[in-house]
Order: sequence, then C-alpha cells, then structure tokens
Amino acid sequence: MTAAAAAAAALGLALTAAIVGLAALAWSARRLRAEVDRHRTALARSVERLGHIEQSFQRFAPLDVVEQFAQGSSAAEPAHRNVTIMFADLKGFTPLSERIPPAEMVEMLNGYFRAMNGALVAHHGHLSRLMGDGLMALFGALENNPWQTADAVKAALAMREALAAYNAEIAKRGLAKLEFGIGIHTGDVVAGVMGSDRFMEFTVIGDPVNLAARVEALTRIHNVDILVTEAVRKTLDARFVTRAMPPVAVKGKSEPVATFAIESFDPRRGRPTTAETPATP
Amino acid sequence: MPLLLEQLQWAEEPLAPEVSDPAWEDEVRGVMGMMPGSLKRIASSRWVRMTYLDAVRCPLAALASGDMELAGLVTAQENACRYCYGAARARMKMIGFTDEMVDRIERNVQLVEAEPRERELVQFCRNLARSKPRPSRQAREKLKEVGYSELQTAELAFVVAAAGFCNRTSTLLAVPPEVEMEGFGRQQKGFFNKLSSWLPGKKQPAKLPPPNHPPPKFDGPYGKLVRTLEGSPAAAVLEAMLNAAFSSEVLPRRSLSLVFAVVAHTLECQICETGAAEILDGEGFSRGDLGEVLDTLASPKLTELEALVIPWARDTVWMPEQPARIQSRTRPLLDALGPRVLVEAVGAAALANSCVRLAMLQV
Repeated sequence: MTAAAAAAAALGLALTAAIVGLAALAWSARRLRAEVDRHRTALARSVERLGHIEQSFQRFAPLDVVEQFAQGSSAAEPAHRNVTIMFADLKGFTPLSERIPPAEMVEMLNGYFRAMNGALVAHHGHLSRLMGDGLMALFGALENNPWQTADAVKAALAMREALAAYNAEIAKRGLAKLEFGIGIHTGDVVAGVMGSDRFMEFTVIGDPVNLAARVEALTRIHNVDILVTEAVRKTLDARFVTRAMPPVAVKGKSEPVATFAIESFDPRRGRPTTAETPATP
Repeated sequence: MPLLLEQLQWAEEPLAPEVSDPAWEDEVRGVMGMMPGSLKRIASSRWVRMTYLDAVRCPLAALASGDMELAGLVTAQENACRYCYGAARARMKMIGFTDEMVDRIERNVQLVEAEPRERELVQFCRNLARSKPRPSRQAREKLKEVGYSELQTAELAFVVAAAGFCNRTSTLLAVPPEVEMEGFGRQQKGFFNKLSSWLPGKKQPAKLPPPNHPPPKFDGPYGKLVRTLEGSPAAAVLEAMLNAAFSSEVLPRRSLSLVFAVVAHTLECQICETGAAEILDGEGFSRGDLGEVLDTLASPKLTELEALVIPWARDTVWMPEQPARIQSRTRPLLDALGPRVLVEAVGAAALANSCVRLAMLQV
C-alpha cells in the first residue's frame, strides 16, 4: 500500500468515525430534546392544572387570599384589621325545609345565596362563610376600605331588594316567601387564613364577630330585617334613614346593646355629615 | 393567578364612539405607523389622548426595552385589560418572545424557574399594578438586590403607571380589542419567523419617535412626584401629562383634584391626598369639605358631575377580575355625562391611579 493510499484510508476512517460520532451526537441531542419536550409538556399540564385549582379555590376563599397563600406571602398571615362584619340568616327556614324535598330545598337555597352574593359583591363585600341557611360577609377584610360600614349597609339594602325579587321568582313555583335578618357590626378583628392542616379558611375572629352574630339574632326580637350597632350607625351620614331600637342585654356583654334598624337610603336626604345623624326613636 | 386573555369578559359595546380628527390621526400615524382604535375613541380630549400616546412612546434612560415590554404585559394582565393585554402579548411575540416564554410569564406559577432579575421584576410590576396593598420601600430594595439601579426602578414604576393609564382608559371605555394585531402576533410562530429570528435586528422593537416636551421644572401639580423621575426623560413626560390634565377645559381642576384625593384615600397614600388638598385649597374647596367628601363620597358642595364621578372613582382603584363589571358600572356615567366628558373623567381616574402608584417612589 502506498503512503497516499494509507493516508486516504486513514482519512476515510477518520471521516467515518466523525460521521458516526456526529450521528451519535445528533441522536443523543434528539433524545435529550424529546426528553425536554416531554418535561415541558408535563410542566405545562401541571401549570394548567394548578391554574384550574387556583380558580376553583375561589369558591372557597377570595382569589387574592388563595394567590397570596399559594406564594407563601406574609400578606396571608393573620393580622389585626378594622373590618365590618355582616351576619344574615333566614327566618323560619328550618320548618319550611322539612316540608319540601331536599333537592328543591338546596336549589332554593343556592338561588338565595346567588342573589345575596351579587348584592354583596356589588357593594365591595365578600362572602366569607355559609352556615346552613346563614351567611357571614366581610367588608374591608381584604383591602383598605374607608367606606366599609356604608358599603355593608348599602349591601344589606340591596340584599333586601334582591330577596324581594327572588321571592317573586319562587312564588311562581308555589314556594313560600323567604325572610331574613341581618346584623352588622364593625371593629378590630384578626383576619387571615386559619384552621388545621386538614381544613383551612380565610376568616376573622374576635369580639366584634360575636357581637355581629348576636345583633343578627336581635332582628327576631325587634321584628325588623336589618339591624346595626351604634358603632356602625355613628359612621353613617344623614342619607341613611335609621330607627333606634330599645337596648337589649346579649350574651357576653355586660351592658345592654343599642341597635338601629335600617329603613332606607335616600341620596337626596340631608347633608351627608357623619356622626351627628339624629336617629328617630 | 390573574385571568388569561381568553378568560376575560369584555363589554361588546364600547363606551366612547370613534371621533374623526384627521390632524390627530396624521400625528398618530406619524408616530406609530398606525391608528389604534383606543386613540380614535379618546380623540375628543386633548390631554387624555396626549397622555395615552406619550405613555406608549415615552423614552427611558436606564431601563432595557425587554424589561419595559415585560412590565407592560404583566401590568396589562394584572389590570385585566383585554385590549392592552392582547396588544402587549402580540407585540412580545413580534419582537421574538416565544410562546412558552409568554405563557410562563402569564401563568406566573413557573416564575420560580426564572432568573432572579426577571422574577423580581414581574413580582414588582404585579404588586404595584395591583397595590393591595401598594408595595413598600422594601420592594424597591429587593429590586436593588438583583441589580436594578434607583433610576431603573423609578423607570420601572413609571412604566407600570403609564401602562396602567392605558389599561384603565381602554378598559373603562370598553375599547374593542385589536383583533387584527393580535392575529399578526400569532402568525409569528411560523417556520420562516423561527428562521428569520436569527437575523440581526429582528428582535429590536421599533422605537417610536419620543414626545417633545420642555425639561421638567418640578413646579406644577405633583411636582415632588415628578422629581422622583429626575434623570429620566419620563420626568418631562409626566410633568407635561399633569400640566395638561390640570388645565383641561372640560374637566375642572377642582373635579380632577377630587378624583386624585379619592383614589389616594382608597390606597392610603397620604402624600397624594395632601397634594390634592393643596390644589383644592387654591380652588377654594376647604379641607372640611374635602374631609366630608372623603368620609362619605358625597357632599352638597359637589357639582352634578362630581357627585357622579366621585363614588365611581373609588371603583377604578382595583380593577375587578372581570372587566365587564367595571364597564357596566361606567355605562350610567356615559348616559349622564355624554362621551366627551366621560373620556375626561376616565382619563382623570386613570391618571390619578397611575400617580398614586408611582408615589410609592416617595415612600
């Protein structure tokens, strides 16, 4: 074999080796790429799933809270806040529920909660908790709201209208009309995500929460639908028409609690000056 | 996670008609090479249209254009503006961001994988746009830790504020989305574009000719706020925006200041609230009367226009998850005020929201 032929053979060998090497490299790169693509697809699916979960969780807690909690943000940690608390309960619903089939009762309740939630959201409130046929709503729990008491009372008035409309709707189905009692109080509470590792929720705790619940119960005694405490009334301006109720002793309070029934909101009435609104006894 | 483009509900009927103004259209085409629908619908107000156009083309001294685009997208998504979100998304794809990159930013969840700079930027923009609560000095410190200079941070806050102005204006007026532009953004996925993306210059966003404003004097309304942008061309732009808004012939200076006061009060911004009170002093609106407005969102001292705009202004602070809600809340204003005044009221609320967010630089 001549030197030239040997060199050509060596070159051929080297070329073959290079081609084989390159092919192996390409095959390996292709495999890696497929692997990356597979992971990317899996990741995209997981992200999509997470997104769905986050959206679904909105049904259980406000979206802001879910997001903060998911990101481990300190904003989701319990903190003191001035919050206005509303309790609403259906009057005489238990005997009514015994007379109608469960499915119909649930449908009726769902329609009621939908209507109430619409009124709450329209006035900057959020539905915090459902308790049987009752609900607890909060104003100013998630963001600064300097008008939270007025918002809560306007929401209660909107709920009154929404209930009337809903009653007209269910009357067509031959169902008895619903009546509610609403109690509103404002004060400093601890707000945040609380619970055990098995069940957690965004809620508020503190004495003002208990008092708001007691005030709601007083609607039965005073035979009115919307009652607020003095703490709420003194923040309302003259456009809110209120009626003073006789003070009543409630559990957990050493002094009788003064409450005010909310009659209406009249935008043309009086000068909207806060604090000095005289309540008509 | 904020909603994605296809999840947003947007009013079918816009709240402002297109206004024919050939001179304005020529000016916009000269700057942008096109006439976006949003700029046609706000053409009736000299200051609102100028502010919008300047917000889009404002030059920056320190912030990279990629960061600016990213901030624009994140802000539009956070503000749930179907119009701007769609446009920003398309623009990002046009300048070379891949589908995966845009998806990752939009979905937020995968940010853990992102570079610390990108992650902090996105988080800062989201938190500032949202302002629930408004970010503190600590947020600026975090940006510093990942390498952003003070001027870059100030410019980033300006971009969020400027984008927020466009987002609120487009949303509150329910400007129909630029479907054609969005479609063009989608076409960028093709083989040719993948290939041509290697060509030099392909990824450079088109630079719009900057506005021509005199150097800032920091002596107009909210002069201290303008000073936070000192060293950036954005200072002159913001000063021109504020001067033009506060000398509107349609919306009185007093009404605009009241809108600023309400937005500042909602976001607990003492600096901007005091700024509004000082302007109102000059207008003969007493601190007592302002206190009453801030306590009750009403007062017999308010004009008919103010009585309508003031309670609505607080609803523009946190854009609802679904824009259709604030759009239906705005429609009664259109019926009561007519389109010309509505455009000014919308501009006032948008500018107030932008300035109060930007005021985080003063804290």
